Amino acid sequence: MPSAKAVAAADASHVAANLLALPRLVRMRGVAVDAEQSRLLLRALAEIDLARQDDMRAAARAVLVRHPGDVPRFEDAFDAFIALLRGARPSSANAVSRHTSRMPANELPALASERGGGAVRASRNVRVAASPLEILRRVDFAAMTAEERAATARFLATLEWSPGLRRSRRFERATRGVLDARATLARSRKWMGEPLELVKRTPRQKRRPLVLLLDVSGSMDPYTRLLLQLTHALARGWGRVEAFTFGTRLTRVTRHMRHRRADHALTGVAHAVADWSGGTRIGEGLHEFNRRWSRRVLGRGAVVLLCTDGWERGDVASLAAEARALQRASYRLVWLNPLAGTRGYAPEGAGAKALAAAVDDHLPANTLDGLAAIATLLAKAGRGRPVRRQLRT
Amino acid sequence: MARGAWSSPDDVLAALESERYVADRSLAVTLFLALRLGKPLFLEGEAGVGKTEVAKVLSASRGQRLIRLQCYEGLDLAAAVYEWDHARQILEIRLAEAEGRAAAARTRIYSEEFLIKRPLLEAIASVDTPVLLIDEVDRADEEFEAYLLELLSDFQVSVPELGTFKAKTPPPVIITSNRTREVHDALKRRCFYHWIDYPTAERELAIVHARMPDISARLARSVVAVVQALRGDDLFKRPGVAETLDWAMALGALGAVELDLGAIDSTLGVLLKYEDDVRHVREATLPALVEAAARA
Repeated sequence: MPSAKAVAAADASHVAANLLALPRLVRMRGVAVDAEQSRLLLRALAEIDLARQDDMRAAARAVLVRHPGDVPRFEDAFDAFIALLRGARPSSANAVSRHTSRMPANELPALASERGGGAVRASRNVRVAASPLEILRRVDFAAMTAEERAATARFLATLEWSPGLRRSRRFERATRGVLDARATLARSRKWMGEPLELVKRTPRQKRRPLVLLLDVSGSMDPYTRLLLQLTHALARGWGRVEAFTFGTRLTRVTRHMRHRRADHALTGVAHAVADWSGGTRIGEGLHEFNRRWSRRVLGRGAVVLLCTDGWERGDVASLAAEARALQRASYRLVWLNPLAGTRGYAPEGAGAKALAAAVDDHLPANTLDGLAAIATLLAKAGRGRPVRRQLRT
Repeated sequence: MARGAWSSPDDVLAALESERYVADRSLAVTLFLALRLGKPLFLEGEAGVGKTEVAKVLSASRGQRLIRLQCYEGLDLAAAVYEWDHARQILEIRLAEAEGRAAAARTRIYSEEFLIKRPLLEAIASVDTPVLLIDEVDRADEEFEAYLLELLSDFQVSVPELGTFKAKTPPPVIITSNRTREVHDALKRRCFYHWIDYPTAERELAIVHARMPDISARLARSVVAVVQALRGDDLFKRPGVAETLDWAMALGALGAVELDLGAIDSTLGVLLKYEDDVRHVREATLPALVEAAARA
């Protein structure tokens, strides 16, 4: 990838053109901004790292705001500006738009269908200039354009993940550890039966199995494809990854994920899964998983990633029971919730509450930063005893 | 009886039957082919459907020894293939030293006498061609599977200090798996694969009669009807054939002549091994089971 600086130099005029939208937006909200300020803004932004949105915001505020009363209006304008950069239409610039269209069966939520107006094209250069990945890190997947999602998917493929290590029942030689009597005896044959060399051994470390349960119902549409891509990256990287999708029924997609190429894998999944973008019965999905699969795939200290927004349309009591059963059967149950990343979210729906009470971790999964946090958590949480709770009856 | 003595699947079916194993036709055909072509037979199925029993019956009907390797997590070469008897080797060294022939000990301690043969080497080195059962291979680690691949393709084991053991005739090999994890395709590719399903009511009745000749026809029918009904229920662990036989035996021991509510209720623990399942059946399906038993 060419460095952000090089790109910035090449496209300096475009960057300037787009950055000048900010003073205009501020002006539209009734704050007086003159030409001198606009010029100053460009100079100020040239001095800072555009990949850091908070820096950029502070710099712009320092230049454009002169009265404390203007701050809210500036913040509003800046939010709109950022939304514009990310490809939102000017009219709905402030809102994070949700896809509400239903996907036809057997079709993955399409990548390139939505958006793509002039605003996107106009802002493209700005974003390239500002080190795309850095900006993308905090962008909600739902608000990304097709190209951004592709970039994100490429980035996901390069992530090094591990759900932590566990002790294997096999041993390896070690300088520290317990005495390996058998090996010591074997070694002492060299010295006419004198155990001169003490051989030690220690349990080998093994990667934990990982199980992903992906909600593919309508409310998850904006996230489904990226989560599948993440699953593929994980499954291809190393051995024991099991993947299931559920909406109104449970489908095992582990085999499709073994394809080397992500497109092939995802096409295979698209054909195998019959309940795209439908309703959600999380409880039933978990029930079927617990009955048919848990003994098969949750052995050996498996970590379970449950990706859903907790939007349950079925029976909440059974969801709670199944989630608790799943928690008991797994080493660690992590709930990845795309909604959890949005500001002011609290699990208040009945289904979300039930899930939140049962899981070990509840993490946002709507941005790259969120996913990276998960990787960190897993690496830390992967050792030691599993979380066990008293049964409440 | 040597390998290939059975000339058709019918012979296999008859041989299994004479050992009181009621198999379906497809299992007999697969077993026949596996023996005929000298390939391992990979059996998968739910717990208690008679996977291990196939190997036992096979060895009994052919009058061959059964060598069983029970797999578990952490199974290594020392437990599965061979190991030197270090303690005896050292004793030998000391003895030789005392007798003043220490130099001779150097070669002597690496003779077959000091080699402990574990099941896999035992099966290959034996002259009498035993039946090799590798039980619950899904419990072993992937590393062990990789070793099995090599073993099952050449049927030879090399001991660096001693030399190579090679089977004169490859022994019949039965591998079973409960699917607690997926066994690698590479291993399955080298085997004939057969999925043993729960038997139909008819076959299950035949199995009960074959294993328990004394059972009354009426009780046997009721037992099978109840078990079949239970398998259709939404249970965490459905009862296998082993449970059916245990249950029939338990009822026989209690002197039950027919299945009524009390008899089923008091013996449910023989059939169902999870508290949730027992409670579910007690609360929801018990009357239907009694009815199924009565209708049979």
